[in-house]
Amino acid sequence: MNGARSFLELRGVVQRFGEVVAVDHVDLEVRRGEIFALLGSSGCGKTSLLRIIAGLESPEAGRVLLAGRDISALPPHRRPVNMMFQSYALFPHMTVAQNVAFGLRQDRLPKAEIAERTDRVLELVQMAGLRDRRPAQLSGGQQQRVALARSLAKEPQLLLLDEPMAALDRQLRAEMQYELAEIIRRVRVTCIIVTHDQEEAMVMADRLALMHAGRVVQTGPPADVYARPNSRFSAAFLGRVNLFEGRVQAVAGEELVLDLPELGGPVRVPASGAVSAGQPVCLALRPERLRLSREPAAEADRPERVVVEDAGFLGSQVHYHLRLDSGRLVDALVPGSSELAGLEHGETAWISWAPRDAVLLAE
Amino acid sequence: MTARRSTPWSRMWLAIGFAFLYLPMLVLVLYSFNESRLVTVWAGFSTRWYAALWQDRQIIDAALLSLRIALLAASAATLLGTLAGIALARFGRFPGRGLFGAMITAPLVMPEVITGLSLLLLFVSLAQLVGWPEHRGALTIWIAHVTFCTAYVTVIVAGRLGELDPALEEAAQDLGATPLRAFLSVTLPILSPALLAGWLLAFTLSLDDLVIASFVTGPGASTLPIVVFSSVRLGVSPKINALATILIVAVTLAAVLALWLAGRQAARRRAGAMPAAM
Repeated sequence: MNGARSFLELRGVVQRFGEVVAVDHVDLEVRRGEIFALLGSSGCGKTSLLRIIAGLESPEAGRVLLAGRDISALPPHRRPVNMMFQSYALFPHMTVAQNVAFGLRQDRLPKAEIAERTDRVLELVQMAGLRDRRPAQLSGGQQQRVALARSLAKEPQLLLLDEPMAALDRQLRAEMQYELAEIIRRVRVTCIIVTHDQEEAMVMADRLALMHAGRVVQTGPPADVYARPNSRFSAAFLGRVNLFEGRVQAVAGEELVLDLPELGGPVRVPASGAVSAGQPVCLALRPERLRLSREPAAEADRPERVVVEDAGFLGSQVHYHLRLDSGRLVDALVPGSSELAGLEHGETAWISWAPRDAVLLAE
Repeated sequence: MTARRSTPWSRMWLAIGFAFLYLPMLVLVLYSFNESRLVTVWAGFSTRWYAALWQDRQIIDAALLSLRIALLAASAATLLGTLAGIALARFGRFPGRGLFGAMITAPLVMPEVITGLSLLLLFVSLAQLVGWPEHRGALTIWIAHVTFCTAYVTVIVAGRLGELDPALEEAAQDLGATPLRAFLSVTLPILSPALLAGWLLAFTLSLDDLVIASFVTGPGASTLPIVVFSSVRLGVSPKINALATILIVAVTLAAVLALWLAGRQAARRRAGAMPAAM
């Protein structure tokens, strides 16, 4: 990545809490204007990283650069960065409008300008009508809008969202994901979202960084990370996946021959990266990439016979558990409208896959 | 939970319980309006003892002294208790935190005679060693009251701070407020009902105190409880009944106000917590 395009840059950031390493030598680059998600399960260090960017934690080592300027030493109130907290942290003794104006008042702007900018940002989140309410008189969704308005009011160079949907119920969450992303894109602010919800990250983010145990495992656009995971962790964290353990039997020109005991017989995949014969590897197959059929496909596709163990109807899709001859269970997803949606327990079927849909994982 | 129905039997016990608690005070209030000089003989309604009370220089002076000490002690205790509460709730696990917490709240459980006696010994030895305080009186009572009232305020403030979202102050700083401004414009206003409740509690405790005040006072500084107690030893005057009635009314009003403030704050908190809990 070239330096000119990176807007926020983290270099070698380390944070420890006692014995626990929360952030372990993280390097990260976020581009101007993009929505970037830090995705990981709880305790992976994503929130610590966000708090380091906001200045609420000081890292043991490493630097934070914003638009080329080192802001590592600045206290939170001097950083051109605003954060929306997981709990929203709305000031309970102030009205909606006073909450939104709080940041502008700290800058000692003229009264008229504060009023004008408060109005504008309340319009943006459609909360102008409730400007005189107290936070306690608002629903969860309304509180979220006010929190967003408050963190946008100062027109920060960087907006940080800490688990923005965590306090909302399921239905509202799905709606707000799109709306929040739409508002953020409209004001063209660079934004970092911390979330443990892969769907949220994939819906909202232009790019994401997958974190595990304080480290960034993989960075890229959601679709790329989903289609081309670089590790077992990435593959298993983003969506469902079938992983087959084995080793490289031989390297044959453009192809690799894999020995995967659970699949029976050698499997050929396109060569990728530096792998040598004998190396342990893992083959990842997405459930929706498996082709299911009642009759075996052409021999070239290496069909595998399966027995249907059970089927779960999800509406738009049917989720099958299929047992291979080796006894291994695999997940497969077929569209609910497909004629293969009606397979029942105990029926025999065949699966196959396109070689390009299989992802070889070396680690 | 099954709500138990109230029966005539349970209501009777409730009445007996309340009578046990409040009948003595009711008798006292009634007899403060007694015409007779004898406390135990009813001779008709009169407010003459209230008028007599108004003429009694000693009681008026003692009441003014008590109020002055209570005002100053409650204010100082609120300041110190707030600082101690912040240290306990916000400064994390600093070395000696457990000891600090235990020692600051120890006066809550310490028998008053011990607190009083130890303070008296302290003042006496201080006077001998450094010549201060020269005399015991209003100043020493004030110091003594501040020490034990601080403990109560600390408990109230630390409790309220403990349930406050730490993100509130962080949000204020994130929005451009210095740590001091964040505290003054966000934490302090949210804390203010707890501070007021603590102040009121400290005020009534100071106004009430007889034991500690009798230990650390000196000639010329008699608080109201001391005057009442010593005059009752010479026989109960109906004037004291009138005084007690006024005190009961004042303390009841203060307690109701403190409860109302605390309850209103709790209701607000519940209302505020609900949408987030969904």
